[in-house]
Amino acid sequence: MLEPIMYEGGVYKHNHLVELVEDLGGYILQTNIMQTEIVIIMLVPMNDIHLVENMTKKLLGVLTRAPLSGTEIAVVAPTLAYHHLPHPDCDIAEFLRRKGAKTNMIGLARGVGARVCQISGHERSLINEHDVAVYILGNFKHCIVENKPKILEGIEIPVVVTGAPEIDVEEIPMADAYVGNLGRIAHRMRKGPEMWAMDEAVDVVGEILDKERNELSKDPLCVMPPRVKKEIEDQIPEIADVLSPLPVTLKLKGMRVKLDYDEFHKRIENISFVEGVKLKDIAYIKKGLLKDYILIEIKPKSETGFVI
Amino acid sequence: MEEYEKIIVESDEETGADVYNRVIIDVLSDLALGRVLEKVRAYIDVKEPVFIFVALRRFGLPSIRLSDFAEVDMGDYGKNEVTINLLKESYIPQLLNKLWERYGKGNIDHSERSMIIVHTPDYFTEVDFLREMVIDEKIAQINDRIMDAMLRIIPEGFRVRYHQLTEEYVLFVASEDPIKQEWKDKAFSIRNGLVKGGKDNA
Repeated sequence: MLEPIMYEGGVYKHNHLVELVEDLGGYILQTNIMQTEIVIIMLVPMNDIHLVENMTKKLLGVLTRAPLSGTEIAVVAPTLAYHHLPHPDCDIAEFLRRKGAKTNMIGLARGVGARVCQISGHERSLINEHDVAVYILGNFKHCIVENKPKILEGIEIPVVVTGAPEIDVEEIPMADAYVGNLGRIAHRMRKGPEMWAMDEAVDVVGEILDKERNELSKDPLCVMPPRVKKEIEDQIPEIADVLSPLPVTLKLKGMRVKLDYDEFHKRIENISFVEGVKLKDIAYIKKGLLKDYILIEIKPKSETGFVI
Repeated sequence: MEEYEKIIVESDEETGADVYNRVIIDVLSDLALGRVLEKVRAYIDVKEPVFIFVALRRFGLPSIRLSDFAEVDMGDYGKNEVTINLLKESYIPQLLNKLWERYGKGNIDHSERSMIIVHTPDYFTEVDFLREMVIDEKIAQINDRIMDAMLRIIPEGFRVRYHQLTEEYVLFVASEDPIKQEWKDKAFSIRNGLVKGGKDNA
């Protein structure tokens, strides 16, 4: 079992930590270097965490659990107008990213209004490509409970809704969780209650993902997504030239590879593992809706009959 | 005491009203309109749905004319020109734009920092015109900012709008359905209360 962890510290000698994690059989998911500081998000075998903790102490860094690592979360706003951006949408997305998630902000074309709000099939499919959708809605209960569920229709992934009033989640059809005190505001969220509300939103998303991971462990994937990521990085050198953030974005059940589908999908399908299987045998490789990137969905054990 | 409150938001939902109060404060301070609007009243009914915004305005700054910051005279005897001796430099860009538009770039001589010479055969009449020329209209800028604030405050989906913008007040009714007369009447009654209250206090 691998534990998602975030290391924050100085750049100096951070390669010692990277090597240790790789030696332990863990995976480095993301490294962000900001001048002299570095943030590393990684998966470490649970039994060996104390070794990583010791190394962190030696390097004077800080280790925290990052429950959202290896997930792609859609932050959905009724539109991308100044009514919703940069506050509160970017603030919430930032909090999700701090816990290791990769967020994509999605503004609906016609998500505004009460009676008139709607979501298109394309937008629905785009949101369904993620692990969790966080809908950032407004200040009025009537609007959230009566009108906005229209834009939650057809979403097959777990949905977290945020808004200003306190609402029981049972009252919102099709929502899996609701977080209050996060309504439509026009200032940066930095006061205590606002920060707590954002922390709560992150916790709620974390709980949902833990539940999903639990479900997944009953019928595990036939290969772990981080391993596929490593193989892609080793076998497709072009991935190193991709400038998008996180060229291989991990998801719970697969990943998004930020290479053009038409040009690269054959090579991705033929990625080989030492066990003698090819990626096309153990995963569905599809064209994603986001910029024609490649979407990999790993098959569960029940489908292939083996785990590598 | 309620009539002395600067911003009051009325709605069936208390939380929604409180948050909207904060949105209005944020937007008005972002656009530096805090001192332009004296009192603000908003009414929101999400069931209808309708959003009503009424604000009482303070009297704004007068327009800036050329004679406010420059001495305008005819040129020396025998010369077809008007001289503008600038006492303040802050309005030069707006002034030059207006002069170029009216007389053409070739007829404007700005070789000295604080002196502009306008070559025109009608210098006799143009002197008076130039003295009264409006260079900077503060009120137009403030009106633009008020409209910007309105669009930021009202819910985004409410695209059917009715508004009145006068020197005394701002009135906005917005909804996603055609505006009903009863909503307008409600807005007018809020406006009348504010305008009357404002006069009583004065």
